[in-house]
Amino acid sequence: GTGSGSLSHALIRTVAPTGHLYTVEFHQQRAEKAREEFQEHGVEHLVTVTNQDVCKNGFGVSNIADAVFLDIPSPWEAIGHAKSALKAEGGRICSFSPCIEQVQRTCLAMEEYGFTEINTLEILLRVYNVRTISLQIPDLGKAAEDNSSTGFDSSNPSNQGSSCVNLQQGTVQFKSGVPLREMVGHTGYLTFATKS
Amino acid sequence: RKIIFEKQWFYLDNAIGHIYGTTFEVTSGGNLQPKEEMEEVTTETKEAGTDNRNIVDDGKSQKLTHDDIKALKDKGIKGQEIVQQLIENSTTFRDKTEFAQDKYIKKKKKKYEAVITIVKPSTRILSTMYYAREPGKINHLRYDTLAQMLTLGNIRAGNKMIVMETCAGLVLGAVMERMGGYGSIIQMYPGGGPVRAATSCFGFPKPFFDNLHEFPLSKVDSLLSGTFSTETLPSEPEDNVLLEEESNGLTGKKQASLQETEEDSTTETAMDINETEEQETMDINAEDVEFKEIKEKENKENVREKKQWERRKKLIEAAALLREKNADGLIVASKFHPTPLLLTLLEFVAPSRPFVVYCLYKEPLLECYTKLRERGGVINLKLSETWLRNYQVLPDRSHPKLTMSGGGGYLLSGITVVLDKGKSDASNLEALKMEEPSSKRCKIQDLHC
Repeated sequence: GTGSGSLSHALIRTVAPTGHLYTVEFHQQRAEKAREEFQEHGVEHLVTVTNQDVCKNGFGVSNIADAVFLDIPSPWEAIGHAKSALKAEGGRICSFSPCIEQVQRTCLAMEEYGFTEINTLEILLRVYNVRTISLQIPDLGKAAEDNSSTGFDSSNPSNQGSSCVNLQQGTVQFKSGVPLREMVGHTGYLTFATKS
Repeated sequence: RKIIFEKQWFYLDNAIGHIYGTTFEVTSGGNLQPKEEMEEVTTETKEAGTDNRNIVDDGKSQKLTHDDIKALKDKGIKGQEIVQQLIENSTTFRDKTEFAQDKYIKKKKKKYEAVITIVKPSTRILSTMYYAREPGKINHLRYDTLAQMLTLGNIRAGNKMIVMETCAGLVLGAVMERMGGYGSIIQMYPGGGPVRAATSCFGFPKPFFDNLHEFPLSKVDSLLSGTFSTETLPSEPEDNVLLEEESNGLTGKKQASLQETEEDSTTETAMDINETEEQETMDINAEDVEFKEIKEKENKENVREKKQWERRKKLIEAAALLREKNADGLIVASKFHPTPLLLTLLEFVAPSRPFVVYCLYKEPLLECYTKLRERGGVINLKLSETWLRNYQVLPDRSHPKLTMSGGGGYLLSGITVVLDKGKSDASNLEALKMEEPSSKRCKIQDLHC
């Protein structure tokens, strides 16, 4: 499931200079575009793009892969082909699917084909923005000169980025790692297994 | 060789000659025996209940006692048979639902079937094992966080990497695995020497270590200020390690005492043992023995000097590599506060190269971020963590297994750029001013940038 070729580039980067990536894309134009880009980026010797349906016709190689990655709508239909593309023992497979039903079918297929250590997980990347935050101190009706009442140590200019009180403005400043207002909550489930 | 794993004692001898991935059974004698491919017990529609409303957990449903089970084990009965016995002697088994029965069988199998599979080590396996069993040794670096570091750091063959870690050498091993023996690595280390306990577990071929260098953190300042010299080497537990290797022919006791006593006296003890052994096996006259003693003392001195000279040479090599200030990347994953490490070690990295810092806590990375902004010479700073969730996927029984979010540590990553000391003040003030995020800056789709 080459698609944009984004993952392919990452894989090529990882297996270079002695490894090879075989990638299959059933959409003719996308396959061609991918080939062009690999050429432009000077990595065409490390990758073979095949334009076919992996579920029907497999990967075009057998018994050599250290790992197979599936990013297609019906991965359970490609498990058999994945198995024959993988080396005899110890190869790894990973399937990426957004829907749990797809995952269930894929896990079942993996079991049927004798894969072991089947494990499904999901990973989310959480990014934080580093911000200096100022929070106001509420007016609780006590005198501003009475330092003890605020509960803050106004002489706290520590380098560790801890809070810093500004009594005149009535604020406390601190550094925080603030999550983005909206974050990616789900992309897909990853299912890994071993050919044993 | 006898080892213990998961409360099982067994000898590894019979494993030799088999391929990785072979599954063994532990026999009653503690030996390994390849497990035959047996047909899994077919799940025909056995008798099962619909729910547990009538099942009372009084601890009395299993008729076999501890002694009964032990007797079975002593008889050498296979684990599978024991599980079968347990099922037959359980009064509540057939009332359990199918799912509960599956769960029960799985649990008993795990306890009584001693099945061992020997696998080839890899970053995946070692990082998972360390995280599960010895997280303290790796600063609680979760395996998916490690994976992120390898990608964010663009670790690949041919790089010249600087690695600073206190994760027992696991991070170093992961980096070496990715580099496949191509390129070079300079490992910065605190104290007397780098810890590579985990690294040795990977089983890398010897050539991988040819381009692995190490350099003491305690010399970094002098290297940057141009006052570096090899005159005062950090106190050398390495020499003790070398001596241990030499004396591997000795008994375990001697090795223990070698670790405790001073360098000089240990070499004395080692040589004494050798001398005694030789005296017993050869009938030579006293003069020859004396001569031999003197000769061996000289040899010992030569060996030690030679090793020290080699260490100096390697140190100079590593210093030269660092001085080039053209590393392709920097990875930091240690128990130390990241800021001083980053601010100094970045000096050795070429511009337009990635760096990644791991910290178990977020706050030090907030400070690091701020200091880096003040320093300049970095772009694309990103503070992130990965949230990991495992799933149980079974027909009609799929659900998340265990939430491990928030337990994997944090990463600060970025890319170096040319540090223009003239411009830096002005442009960084600008950057610091831009505290408020514009809501349109980074949409969901662009998050992958």
